[in-house]
Amino acid sequence: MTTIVPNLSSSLFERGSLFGATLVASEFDDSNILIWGSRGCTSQVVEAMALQRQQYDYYHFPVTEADLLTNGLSTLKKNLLPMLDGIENCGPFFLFLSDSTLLTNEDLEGFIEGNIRPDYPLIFAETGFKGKMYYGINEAIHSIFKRFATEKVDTIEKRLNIIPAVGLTPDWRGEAREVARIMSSLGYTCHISPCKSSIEDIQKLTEAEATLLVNPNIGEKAAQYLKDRFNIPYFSPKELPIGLVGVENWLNNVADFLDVDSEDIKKIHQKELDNCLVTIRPALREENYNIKVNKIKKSKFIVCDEYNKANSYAKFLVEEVQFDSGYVFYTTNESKKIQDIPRYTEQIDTENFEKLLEKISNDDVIIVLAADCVKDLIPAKHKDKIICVSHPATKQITFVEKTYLGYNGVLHLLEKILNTIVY
Amino acid sequence: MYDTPPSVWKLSELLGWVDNKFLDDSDKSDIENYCSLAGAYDIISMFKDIVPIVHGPISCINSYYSTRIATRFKNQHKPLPISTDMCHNDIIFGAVNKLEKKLKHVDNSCQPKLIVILSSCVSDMIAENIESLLGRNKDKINADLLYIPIGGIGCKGFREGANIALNKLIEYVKSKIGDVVPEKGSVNLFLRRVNSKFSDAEDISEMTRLLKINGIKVNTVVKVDSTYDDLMRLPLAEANITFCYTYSAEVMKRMDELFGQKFSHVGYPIGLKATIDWIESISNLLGVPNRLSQHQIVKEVQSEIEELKEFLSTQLKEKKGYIWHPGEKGLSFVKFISEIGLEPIIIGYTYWCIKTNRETIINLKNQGYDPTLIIRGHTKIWKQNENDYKYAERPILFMPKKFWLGNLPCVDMDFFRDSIMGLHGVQKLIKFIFDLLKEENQRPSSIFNRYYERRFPRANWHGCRKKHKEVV
Repeated sequence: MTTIVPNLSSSLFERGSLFGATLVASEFDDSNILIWGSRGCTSQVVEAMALQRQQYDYYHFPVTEADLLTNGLSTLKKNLLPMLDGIENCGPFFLFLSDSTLLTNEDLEGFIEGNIRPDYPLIFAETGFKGKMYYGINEAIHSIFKRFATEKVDTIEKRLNIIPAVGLTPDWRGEAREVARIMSSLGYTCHISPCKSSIEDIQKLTEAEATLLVNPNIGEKAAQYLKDRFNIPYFSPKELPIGLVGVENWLNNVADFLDVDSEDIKKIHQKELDNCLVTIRPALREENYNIKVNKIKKSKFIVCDEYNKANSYAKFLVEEVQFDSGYVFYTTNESKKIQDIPRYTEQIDTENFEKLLEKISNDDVIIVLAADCVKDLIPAKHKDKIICVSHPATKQITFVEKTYLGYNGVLHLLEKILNTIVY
Repeated sequence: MYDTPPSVWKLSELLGWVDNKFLDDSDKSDIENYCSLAGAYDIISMFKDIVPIVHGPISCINSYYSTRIATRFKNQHKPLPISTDMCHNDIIFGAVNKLEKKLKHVDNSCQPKLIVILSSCVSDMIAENIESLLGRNKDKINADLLYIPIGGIGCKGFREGANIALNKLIEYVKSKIGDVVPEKGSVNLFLRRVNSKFSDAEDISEMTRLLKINGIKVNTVVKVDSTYDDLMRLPLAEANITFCYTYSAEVMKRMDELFGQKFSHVGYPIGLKATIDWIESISNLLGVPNRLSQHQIVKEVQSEIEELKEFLSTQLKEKKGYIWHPGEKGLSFVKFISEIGLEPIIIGYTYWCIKTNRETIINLKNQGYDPTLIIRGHTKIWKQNENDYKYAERPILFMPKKFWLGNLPCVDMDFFRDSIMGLHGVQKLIKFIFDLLKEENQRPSSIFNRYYERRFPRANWHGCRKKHKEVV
């Protein structure tokens, strides 16, 4: 019988760059995606669109060996030009190159310049083997900013751009909106993009005072473009706003960047903190609540996520929720390493994920913060302990936006943890 | 709104138009337009004790895995995706060493009986010398090694990839087993090639029961969850049978060449006549008498059909049965609908479906069936029926109810989920229809039935993007 291959478990989490680019492309109104590459690439688009809950709307020219040996561009020209009829009235048209077309190194930029009318909303981005999911997301955001955020308009005071972590969690839109909500309490109006955006939304990016990244791994290249071209500074967080301490630190860092009065920050934090405590307080009288909280103190956790988020969750679980100890498993090697692993937490490499699960006895109470795809890896006895916080959430159905970030996120995560603990 | 009349055809008419290239049947309209690598992966990952390794970028397998393999049912075989994860540097320096490392690791940790290496566009294009690597490691690795060059640019898509992989496996079996004497009166049953369905177990059990009446034994079943040993038993059967009419004809031909096994070329056993035909065709192939056609259970089912036919002829004003399945099963279902005295109409068809199901369509035509097809606009016709007739006089739909909000009698069935083959299948369908027309309240308030049908936006795009957007 074939058994699970332990050190290959990380491959469940990784995705290709075309997948990442599609996550972004499908966030635009009336957008179209054309993949110039071989047939296999389609599956990445299908998965990305399903995760974004978008109806399939993509086109694909299957590139063959003959195309590559002769002249791929002539096939592209033959198929692409009739498609563009009437396209000027639609949303952005993304043209993605994949592995095979990337390998032939065709001069696509030259082709577009020579053949495509400049008023067509065509954007092209290289995906393929050059990188993985993060690369694809960043390339696509950068490409669309570069294509449509071209003219400087008058800066609006206290206006912020927020670049969300597109597709990286089941509720990434909710995360960005929570960040926007917190910033609005400081008097800022926020413009989240890409998030159900249009070409007009991108054109308005240049009116902002600054850009905030929700996740340090997503959007830096695009934010850098806005900075270089329009002198709009950007903020890349050193810590994600997870947990009350995490949000406070994040808020202080943002305040430093935006030059906000620290007294204002204190007031906002205190108000939000009070709200959270007022919400939690009635539960203190419940026996059920107290039993569960006591159980947590003897429990372990496993967090599977990208580097920074995993560490932020671990920090929250150890320091604020007061779990006994836990394990952190990084699902991708691509993310930037900013945050340190907290005390009482053991870092697990991909080789030893299954060994970790073997180490946990039946009597241990564990909570697993991960993508739901780890259900294929973990033993049946722990399957109902998974809280889906991460990508890829292939088996997760989400209708209502609920975030784990920010102040609302603290309550939501706490609620999930307590409901997952059974006694 | 863009108001277009329904597009209604006769099957034979549409076949003629597609054959003469009047319609766009290009593979752009194929919604299953996956890679040949994915087709091969689908086949290899069906078998326990066989591990596929994809030699290419991680994207070649991971998204496909999560949408098509991870969605296999609980407790079914779904080996984790294993890839050499080729990246930018590997394109320049090659990744044979990575593959070697992965081979050794898989051999140690999984202890499979066979490791299959599947190449991708990238490894094919940079001409990785995989065969030489396998030669070097033949004695160092405990498992057998099989290499299938299957990069997407070199082949014609998912179906061809699946055929190539199955052919390679069969050739591997031949190389291991050699010549064997098959057992008289035994057959190998090949299920649908792609993934597994809820109905598999019940369908196999029903058709095995009916074959047994004629003294035919099922040697092995090729499906998800089959083992390496099941695969190795393939040469022991006298013939090969399938449910699907067009199931990899070239694979069946290859089986004949290698093991002298004949292939019973017949469509899905859906409906009484189709079931008897299916059994008869296999019996004839093996030279055994067909006892089933005279069997008491057939007579019982026959009388049930007559009863239903009589009931429908008096009850329905619009004697039509709409089938929402454009594939092989839908075409076979036509026979059952005709059997109960209704006019079969298939909805959701595309020109591409005509091309892929061409052989089955011609077979159906030769048997005297020429159903109506509706390419688009069926909901308009259905709404008209709602206005013209009372509930129990209206035509019957055969489809999952959740995709139709209206109030036509709907046999809420899923062609993949519900077992409808064989005599049990016929009895089940008859019961469904009787129950359906007896029920008074036909509009369940279940939230999952409140789903509006939306036309698949892919089909009608070429050159009229803007108009299309308005329609949707």
